[in-house]
Amino acid sequence: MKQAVESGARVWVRIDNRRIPAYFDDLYAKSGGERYGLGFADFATILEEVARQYLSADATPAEVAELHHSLRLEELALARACANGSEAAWEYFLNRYRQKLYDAAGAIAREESVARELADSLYTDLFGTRQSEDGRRISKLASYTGRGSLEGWLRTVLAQEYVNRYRRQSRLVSFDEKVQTLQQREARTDVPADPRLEPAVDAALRELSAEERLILASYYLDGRTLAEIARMLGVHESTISRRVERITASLRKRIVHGLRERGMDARAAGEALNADVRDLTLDVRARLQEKKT
Amino acid sequence: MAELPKIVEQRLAQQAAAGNAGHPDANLLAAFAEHALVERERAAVSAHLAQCADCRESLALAIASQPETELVAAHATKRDWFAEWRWVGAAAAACCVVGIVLQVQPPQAPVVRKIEQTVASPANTPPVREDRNAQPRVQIAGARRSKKVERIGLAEVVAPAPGMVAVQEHMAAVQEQPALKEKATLEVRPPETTSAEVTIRPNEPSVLPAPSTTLLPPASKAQAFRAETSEDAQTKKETQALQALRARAGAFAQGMITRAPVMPTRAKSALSNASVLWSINASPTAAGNPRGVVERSTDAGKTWEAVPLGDNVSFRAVASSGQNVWAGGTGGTLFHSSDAGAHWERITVADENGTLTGTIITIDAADPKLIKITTRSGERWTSPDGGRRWTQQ
Repeated sequence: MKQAVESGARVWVRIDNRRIPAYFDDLYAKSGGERYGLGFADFATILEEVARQYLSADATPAEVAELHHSLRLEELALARACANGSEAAWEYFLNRYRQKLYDAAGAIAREESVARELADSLYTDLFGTRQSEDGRRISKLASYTGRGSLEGWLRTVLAQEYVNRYRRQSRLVSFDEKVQTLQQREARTDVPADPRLEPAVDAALRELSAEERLILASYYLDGRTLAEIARMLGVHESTISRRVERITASLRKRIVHGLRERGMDARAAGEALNADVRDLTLDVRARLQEKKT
Repeated sequence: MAELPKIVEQRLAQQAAAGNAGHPDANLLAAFAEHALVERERAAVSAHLAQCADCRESLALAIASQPETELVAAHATKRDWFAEWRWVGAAAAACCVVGIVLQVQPPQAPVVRKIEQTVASPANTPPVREDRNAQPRVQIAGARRSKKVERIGLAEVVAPAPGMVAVQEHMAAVQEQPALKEKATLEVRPPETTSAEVTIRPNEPSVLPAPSTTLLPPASKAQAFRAETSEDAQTKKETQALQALRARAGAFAQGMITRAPVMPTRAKSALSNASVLWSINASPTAAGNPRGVVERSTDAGKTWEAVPLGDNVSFRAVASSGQNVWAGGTGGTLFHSSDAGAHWERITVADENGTLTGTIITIDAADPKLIKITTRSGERWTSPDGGRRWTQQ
């Protein structure tokens, strides 16, 4: 039973014996939820759900409030109102986002029929054709939490769907191929790989920060350009260029150091690392060419 | 560019194959791209991305699917600086200004870290992220502008920085202005294009048209500005100053700069007004208080203290409006304070027909003069004079 104890500015509202912080009122007003057909009680429930999703149970009220204030409230209200079945909201959503959805699909999938299928499929999911037991539509928009922009979320959903459907298989194949090629090349060399090499490399890689490993993987494994990586991380291209240089250089130093700790002398360590560099260069180029086609 | 030793590449790639669980969902990944995650989350997502090629690809595709836009701050050139000057010159004819000082901050952790530090200090009321949904009130000053301030501000904005620019309203300049002519409402709305937009709605009738594109290099910003000839000088000033802000916001959303443009800090003070929070604890607390005790918090909800108002009463409703606080509960008990709870007065709710003796369950005190209460049994009582006389509806 809802027992809304509504009152003046700075107070807690009680809904079903839950305490609702006063600032929920402010946020609800900002979200324009009323305009989209989202009631305050539902909005409050959504805010609580989002807090549970991203914060631990012992988060302080201030941390919870901080999270709530950082959300894209209007987009959240719109998305959830759509998910609740509000026609006004859905119309609004269509006007603003339908074209962007199809444009983004086109940019992601390139090939027109694939793009159309991708966009149509997401559109269906957003509208919600599946039904729950009580006959309500289940819309994908119900999973939007307002951490990022709604448009960014749509693009990301499209991209993830695209990768899942069309790219994952081909990558598995090429990765296997890559490993095979590397192994074959190893087999061809005269000097077998030193058993100390792998653990030294692993140790050095572990010392890198997550972002550093991300940069390395993006640059060397994915073959992304500096500009693309810079865009992903929100820094200037020259920053990425410097970082790649620095990370690679320090990685070499650390591996050599690790190898020496494991008993290899400096010269042998340097050689072990330098082995087959020409092959590596060719491999990178081949991969880059692959990507372009 | 240095090459990566083959063995390193191999180990890096093999790490990707191992343990691909924990893919971030679209919410996290999109927020990552827009730099809306806190440090802890960002590190976690980075760690996963480092070892998951699929998620890296998704992220790259999502980012790349945005229409091409130009970097603003990071690629500002001397040529742009002159364009800015012409722009300033045009504005010089107008009589009003918003002083915006754009500061170049040293490269440091993104704004999210700053917010985290804010959270740690106990004295803070819930901090507001100005760059999101805050609706700050920009006080547009009506006095003479400070030419120097504007020149410094704009020169700094176009100084080549490694993409890290913070925008702050120069509060001192605004506060000095004696006559505050106009208020505008600043709103961050869902983007028309792909970047976060800042549109201004002055509370006066003149409405600024939303821009058709958000991210413009300074030169074309000047052109767009000149095209809006229908505005008067006052709103032109707002447009200029806030276009700079908007461009930063757009650049930020694009992931071009990592420091969020800081909206006028007046917003923060308006929204984080330290005020007393009231509540009724609905369940027995650790301190052993029975259900129905009025509680007060002066630190935005972090800690609560019980307000003893009576032994045999269990409170069900509390309402406050400014300094006025009302608390009602069993047995028709109603208490009122006009000084935020320092002193209380017991109120008897009665009219010529009888007295309220049931349990008060709601109190509407939004208007301190007109108090409305309802009881569990459905009685409705109103007082038109702040609680002296009552009538049952």
